[in-house]
Amino acid sequence: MGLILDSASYAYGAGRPFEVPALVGVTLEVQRGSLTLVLGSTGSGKSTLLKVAAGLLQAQRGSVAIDGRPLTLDTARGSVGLVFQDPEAQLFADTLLDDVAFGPKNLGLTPEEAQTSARDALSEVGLDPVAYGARSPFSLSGGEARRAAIAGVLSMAPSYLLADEPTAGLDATGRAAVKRLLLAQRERAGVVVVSHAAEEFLGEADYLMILDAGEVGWAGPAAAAIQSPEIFSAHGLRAPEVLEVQRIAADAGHRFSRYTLDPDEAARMLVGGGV
Amino acid sequence: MIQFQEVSFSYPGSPAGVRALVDVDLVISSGQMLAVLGANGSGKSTLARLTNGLLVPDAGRVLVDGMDTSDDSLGLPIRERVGMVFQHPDDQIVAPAVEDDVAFGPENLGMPRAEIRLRVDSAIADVGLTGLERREPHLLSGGQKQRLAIAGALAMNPRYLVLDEPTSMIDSQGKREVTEVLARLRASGHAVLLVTHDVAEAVRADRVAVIDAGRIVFQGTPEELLHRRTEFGAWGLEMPPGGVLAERLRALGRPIPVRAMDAESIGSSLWA
Repeated sequence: MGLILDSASYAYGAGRPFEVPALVGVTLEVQRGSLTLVLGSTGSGKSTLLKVAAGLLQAQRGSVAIDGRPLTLDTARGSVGLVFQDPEAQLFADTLLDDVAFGPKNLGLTPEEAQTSARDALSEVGLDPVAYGARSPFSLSGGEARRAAIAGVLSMAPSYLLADEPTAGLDATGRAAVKRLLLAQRERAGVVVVSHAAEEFLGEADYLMILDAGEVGWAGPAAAAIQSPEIFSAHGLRAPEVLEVQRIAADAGHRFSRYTLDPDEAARMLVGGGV
Repeated sequence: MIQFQEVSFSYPGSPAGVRALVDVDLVISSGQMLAVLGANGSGKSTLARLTNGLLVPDAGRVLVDGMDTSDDSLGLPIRERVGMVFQHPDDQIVAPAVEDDVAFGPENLGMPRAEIRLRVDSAIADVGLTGLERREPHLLSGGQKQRLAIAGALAMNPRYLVLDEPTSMIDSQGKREVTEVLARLRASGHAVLLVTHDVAEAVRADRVAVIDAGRIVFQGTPEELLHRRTEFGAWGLEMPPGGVLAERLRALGRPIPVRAMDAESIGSSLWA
């Protein structure tokens, strides 16, 4: 069971003179009930990884399987949901309800069933279907549009939910709402969040994978990554600021029994010179 | 200077009474960096677009060095003075190579080639992209792309540079690069208006204006802003984790400066 990439590779323009390898031998196992955070700098292969995991791109080497079957567009449909980076690019219908009902309708549900799924999904993302259902998707704020795009994916009740930079460009309120929403999905789905900001999901993630030039730079439990803050800079990333201060302190000779993301605890440790 | 005098603005077609900006008074002075801080939908991007006549007020006036943006005949001189950089660098990169992209504006003004060359080289140097002149823009990192967009604006020799959330879509490395470029520009006498929802970015400016539901609800120094900390939530703002850490350290008696919200500044003030 699970969504499993086994040494998957993908190159754009494969076999042509200007072949660009984007993903090189990446192994990733996503189980329901888990949250995996994928970090990497621009061009590290994060978005390609999501497209391969969603079946939109086919790995040229290695394999991708979903719940024991090879991943194809067919087996991915309805089982893997992908939230792209730009929600505006995903919204298209006249009303929000039609927009969100589009996916379930395509899965073969009757229009009534599709509308019910859409209403449930809108409620789930905190957009009241009565107040919002008839509105144009293009009248929404940035944070609402992002949640609406996620509702469009949730309406198909995917077993695996993949989100590309789900909080980029959102303010504090919007980020908090999207974050809560994705964390809640972990209860029933395997969630993969791709981000360029370590700050956002590291504390809540079960697993962390750092991509570096298309390859796995580091992978393991997120809790272990927090205890090794040097892995971020080793792969061209910046550790969350609170962790980075402790790393600088450690370089300056301070000794901590453990690193923490919590600012309160960090402040006490820094002032006390350790715990 | 750029002056907003009791400026109000509503988008066409918005329901009656819904105004994006309400009675905004604001001054952007030469050689200063002003941060306009606000949540999504607060009106801060609208404010940015009013600085150079992309939008004109329904009521009140916007004056750029005394020129009224609602006077159509002043459109060109106003836009030459006020350069603008948007959130998505990809939206404003047009050419197949870095230097061609930077040259796009001056070329359109019909400048002599030698003058264009000078401006392009100096703008590319200002943003630290020297050596990448022939690079294809799509091969640049997020931070490099945004610096390229800034270079494109600088090549027009603007007196004012207005940036609308220039770092919200790029990684933290890119953020630092853009922040450093902005600090250099301010040091070289440019007036910078930085629109952002990031408190850590805003406190690096000389002055901060907070905008909430179209109204300016605070104007002052970064130090004064932090005295209004309890209102952040109501304004839709959030203290970033680095800022929270700095607060906790201050509470424990460590003199962390107001602007220090990143690890290096906090570290250097802890072990100075």
